[in-house]
Amino acid sequence: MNIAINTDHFEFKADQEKSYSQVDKKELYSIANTVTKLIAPSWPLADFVAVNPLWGFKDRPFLSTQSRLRSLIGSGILPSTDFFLNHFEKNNLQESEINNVLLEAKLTGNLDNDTFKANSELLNSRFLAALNNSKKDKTDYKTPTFSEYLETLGLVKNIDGLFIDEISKFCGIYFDKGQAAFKSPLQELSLFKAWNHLARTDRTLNILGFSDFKSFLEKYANEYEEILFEAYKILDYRKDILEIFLELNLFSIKGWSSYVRHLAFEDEKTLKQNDTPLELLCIKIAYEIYLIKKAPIRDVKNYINLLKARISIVPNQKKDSILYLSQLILERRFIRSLAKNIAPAALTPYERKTMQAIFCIDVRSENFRNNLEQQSDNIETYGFAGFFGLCFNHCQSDYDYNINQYPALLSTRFKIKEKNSLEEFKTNSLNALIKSLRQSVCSGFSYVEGFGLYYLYEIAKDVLRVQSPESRINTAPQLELELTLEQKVEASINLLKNSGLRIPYAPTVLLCGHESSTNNNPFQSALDCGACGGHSGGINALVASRILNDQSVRESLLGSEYEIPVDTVFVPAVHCTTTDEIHIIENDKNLDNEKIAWLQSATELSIKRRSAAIGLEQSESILKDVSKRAQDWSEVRPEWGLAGNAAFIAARRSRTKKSDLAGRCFLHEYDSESDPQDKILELIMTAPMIVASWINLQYYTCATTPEFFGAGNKTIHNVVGQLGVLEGNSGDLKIGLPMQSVHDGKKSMHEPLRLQVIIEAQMENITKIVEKHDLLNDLINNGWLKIFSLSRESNEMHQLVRNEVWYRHS
Amino acid sequence: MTIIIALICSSPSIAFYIFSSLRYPLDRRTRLSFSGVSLTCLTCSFIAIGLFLMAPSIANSYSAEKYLIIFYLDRISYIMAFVVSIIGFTVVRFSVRYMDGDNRQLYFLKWLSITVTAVFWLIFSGSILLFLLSWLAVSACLHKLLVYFADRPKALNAARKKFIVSRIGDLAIISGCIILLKCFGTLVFRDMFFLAAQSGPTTNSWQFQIAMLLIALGAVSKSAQLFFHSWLPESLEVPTPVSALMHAGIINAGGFLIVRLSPLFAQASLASCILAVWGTLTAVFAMSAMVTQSSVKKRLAYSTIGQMGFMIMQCGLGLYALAMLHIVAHSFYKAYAFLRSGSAMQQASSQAFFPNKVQLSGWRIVAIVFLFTTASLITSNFFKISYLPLILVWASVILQAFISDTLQVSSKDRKYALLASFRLLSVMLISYLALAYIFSATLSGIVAGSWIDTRPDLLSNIAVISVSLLIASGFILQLLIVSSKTNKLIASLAIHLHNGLYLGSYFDRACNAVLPHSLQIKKLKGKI
Repeated sequence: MNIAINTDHFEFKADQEKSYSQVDKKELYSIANTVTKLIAPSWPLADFVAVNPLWGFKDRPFLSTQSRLRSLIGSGILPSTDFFLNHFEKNNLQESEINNVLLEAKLTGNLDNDTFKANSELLNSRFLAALNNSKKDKTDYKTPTFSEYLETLGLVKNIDGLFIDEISKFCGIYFDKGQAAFKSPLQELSLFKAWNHLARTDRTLNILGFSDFKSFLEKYANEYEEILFEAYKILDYRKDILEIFLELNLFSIKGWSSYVRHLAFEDEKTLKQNDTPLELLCIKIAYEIYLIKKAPIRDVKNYINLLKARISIVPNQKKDSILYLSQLILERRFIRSLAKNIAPAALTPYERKTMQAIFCIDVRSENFRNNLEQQSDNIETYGFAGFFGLCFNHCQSDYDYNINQYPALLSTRFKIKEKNSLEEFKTNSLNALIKSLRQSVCSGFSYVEGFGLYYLYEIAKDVLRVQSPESRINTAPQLELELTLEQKVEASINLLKNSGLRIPYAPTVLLCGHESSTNNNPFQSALDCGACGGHSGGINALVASRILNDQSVRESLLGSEYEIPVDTVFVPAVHCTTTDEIHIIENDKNLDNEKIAWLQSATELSIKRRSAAIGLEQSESILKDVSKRAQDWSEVRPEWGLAGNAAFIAARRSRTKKSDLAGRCFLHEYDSESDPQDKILELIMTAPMIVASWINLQYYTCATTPEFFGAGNKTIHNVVGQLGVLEGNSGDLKIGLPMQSVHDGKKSMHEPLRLQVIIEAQMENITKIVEKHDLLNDLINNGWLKIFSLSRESNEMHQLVRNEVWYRHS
Repeated sequence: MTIIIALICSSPSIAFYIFSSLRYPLDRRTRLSFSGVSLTCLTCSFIAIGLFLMAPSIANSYSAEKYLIIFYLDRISYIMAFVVSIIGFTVVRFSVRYMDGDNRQLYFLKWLSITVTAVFWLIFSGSILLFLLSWLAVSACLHKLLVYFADRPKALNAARKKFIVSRIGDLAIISGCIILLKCFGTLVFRDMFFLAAQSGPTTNSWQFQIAMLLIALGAVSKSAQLFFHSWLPESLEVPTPVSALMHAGIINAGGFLIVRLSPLFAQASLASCILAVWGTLTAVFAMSAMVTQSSVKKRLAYSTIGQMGFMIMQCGLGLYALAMLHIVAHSFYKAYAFLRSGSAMQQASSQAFFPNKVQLSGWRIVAIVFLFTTASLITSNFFKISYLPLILVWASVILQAFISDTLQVSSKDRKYALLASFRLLSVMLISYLALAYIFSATLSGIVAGSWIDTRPDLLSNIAVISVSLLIASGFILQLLIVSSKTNKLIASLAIHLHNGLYLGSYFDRACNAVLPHSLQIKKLKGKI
């Protein structure tokens, strides 16, 4: 009997065995390494920034990513058929629209020719019918991992989930940033070694019946390269199958993979090698290989055949094409209505204003800027990346982590230290003591008995919401800037030049960062300034204004085109996006009553305009209601963040000043006349535009594929390791935005559109820059965003369809 | 009178049914129902305060009333009612915005309010029969809330485990009650306590002792003590307010049962002794497991288990008034901690303070041992012996504070840190002593005195000594876990503790053997 069992299981014939050295180690390594790059990085909760979760696919066309994802995760990223049907039901579909998008698809080449022909027969008047038909196409194209495959065969149950729980448990311990009082010694080892150690010690799998798992580890999983080779061996030494096998497993633990990808991403900035993503992938496939060793050989062979068959299949082409065309229709409709809102170019001579205000390009600034400008003709606002071009590490106190105050794609330049007060030291030491008392065997009990009743008071305070929201930036703190004069002057010139601030500068120049105000919300940083690395932008505004107000800097600028008038004062402020209030950080004496009144009525108008979306009634007390809501510890939807974002406009403010853009546009100031060498344009297109696209695709995917790219339901979130959330007990780390960030329970708050970039610049200038940067080429040619050139003189727009080809938008 | 009390006890559900049946659009009805239920709970808490203050006069006026067969009204009931109504109020208020957008909000509120109602009935029940019925009702309602997300397999799994544990507990209690009925001839608390106070042959009989053992088993299962604990850290697949209600309210039921039956437990040395040891074991285990947990809610869950263990230990030592204090204080503490679990990041940033580095140098170990021994020697002479373990606990608290990270900092501001810890500890100690005094004073005559002091015998010595030893070793174990970074044994132990000593997995395996849910590993016969 024993013999029979043995032959029935996976054994390799001697002639098939190749030794490790014969195979190109490096090649396997590089295959696996490339695969891990498919996953986009995901930042920890403290520095949560929006990420394009499909960053790894940027060099592939949007549409083929759609079908690739169907195979990998069982779902594409385009909105569902029902979504489009609903949309077209409400807004009738025009024949001309279909023709237009067919043309666009043809020009962009995103639909390949064959599909295109087949579809064109179907289309025209029968578009809706075709769309309706595609609903029936529900075939499950998900290629299973081996454990999922065994589940479908009925040989095992819940095993995939079990393995993911085990990995997640391990990662929670290994990556813990201080949630557990016990710092695991495993953190000192490399990821794979640590896992190997934990898996040998942990008895969970043993208890559940995998009694030989430990011996498997000893035999096959001492080094991650061994596991990789083992997989290769099992998969008939076929690199293409190995690749798909690795991809499937990578996506089965996409949460933790994204987190470790972020670690590697940060290391790559300093050209450090980081194999953690690869190690994590090998951990996952170790479990799979264990199952393969245990499973009947027939099933393993069938599985390999299944993988082979899946390599060549392009699933759901027809359905995806029609969904893609519908997406194009939606986007065209949006761009049309947006074009109507763009004012024709007007040549008004510039006079010195009373107040100039620079805001972040964030879509939430748009509403406020619009309302502020309405207050007086003497106000001018600008849109600029909210970190004000300053990349620094902010060290709030000796006892805090250093906070990165710059976009995730850049790296740090200098350091800012806040002087600590004694008070701060006292509170911190008290907090540390309380923590240590609460977290240990005996003192935990006494602490509860001594102070438990005090929490009744805390509960009352929170239920009654007596605190009013405060800015997180200290008013006029003492800062230590580690900058030389040259650096300061350079930073000043960059800021003044790139923000397009017009000369002569107004007596008051408001530098306005932004932050959110929410309570008891693990996703607070998702609502903060993405350009400031998911933190409050106030500190950047403060540092920028300190530099610009510096007398020696001003002296150095004397005589240059950026000379700052003597009476000009830069006032740092922070815009609270939850309450739309402006908090002045320092130099508030410079603001007279009139200016303060402007800001206050802008606040009021902005809230009123948002009130319907956040479900508040327009009443006298609306300001209070909003501020109460911001402090509500049970509030899961304090504000809608960047939901609804759809366009990025780099143009003079006069083009958009008078129009209501519904808070859907990133607005960057750009005047091509003051940029003869296209330096500013290049900067805009390679930095803020990319960040905007990340944000855009983060919201896009969270709206269309929440089950995979969203962080799930806030009500069962469980913060793990002070870096991310789990849903409930365990499972994979959750990435992306929670359901409550994009959905109000009845309807989605984000209409999924790819970023529509409108630049007021000549087509050839834009083309030149795109040609120069492979990244831009990839993003545009593959359809991850669309670029339009807006004429300086008229409202004419041209779309860049592919490599230097422009076509006029109508 | 009977009807009035019954109405008050049922008021949350009544409020729910009234408000939810109003003919308004769904949104408005939902809002109104939430406000209605929360206000009802708040009113109940005021009633409880009023009753508590008037308690002595009430007790005199109705001594012979009939409804006392149905209801039991004393300060314990009022205190518990106050706690539960405040927790209920908070949780319902919290859910208004927290559950916003969920299309089953009314369903959620319905079961929330019925659960609170069932707990009220439990608190005020005057006989074991009613007590048992409400006990079962609480369990059933909680089950409904635990499977609120019925599409989550892990939620179902945890609920199933809880179901099995609860039924084991129920079985123990029911059989215990049957024996009690045989011993006393009645199930009405008032009569049973009267008979027990005479300390006659009934309480000395082995039947009585066994009955109390069984009831203790039921209490232990309800309060998630060691071996019955695994469902608690696994039942996080519920909305946070449900966790808060469970960890702050329902989990106390086991402790409440013991305090309620304190006149009986005071006569049951064996059961009490076992409770004391079991509770301490749980406390030490769970708090050690807690320090290894890397997710915030799991940490809180283990903290609850540990705190319940400590409370059960106090019950076992006969310190019922202190156990009540613990229940009350812990409820507010844990409700707050759970509802605030979303602030884990903000709390972290203010507490990321010093790197965790407790160093155990030689002289510190000597100091610990020295302090422990002197403290216990001095105190056992001056205080009642039943307080010994508590004094040990306090000694270790002080030690903990002095070796904690704060004072490791070598800075010129060290003296402020020292001063701060000194102040904090004094406030903590004084407020504890004051509260302990208040609780003992207000509950004197209502709960029984400690059996350890009134009837010192072999069992009481065993209880005190083993509890003290366990506390001391727990403290040292904890220090070892936190301080040693490289010790392999400790590292492995931490992994086992992180898994809750695998009781959940054993449970899973046991379930898998009978349920169709199984992993069916046996079909995979390949050899490694």
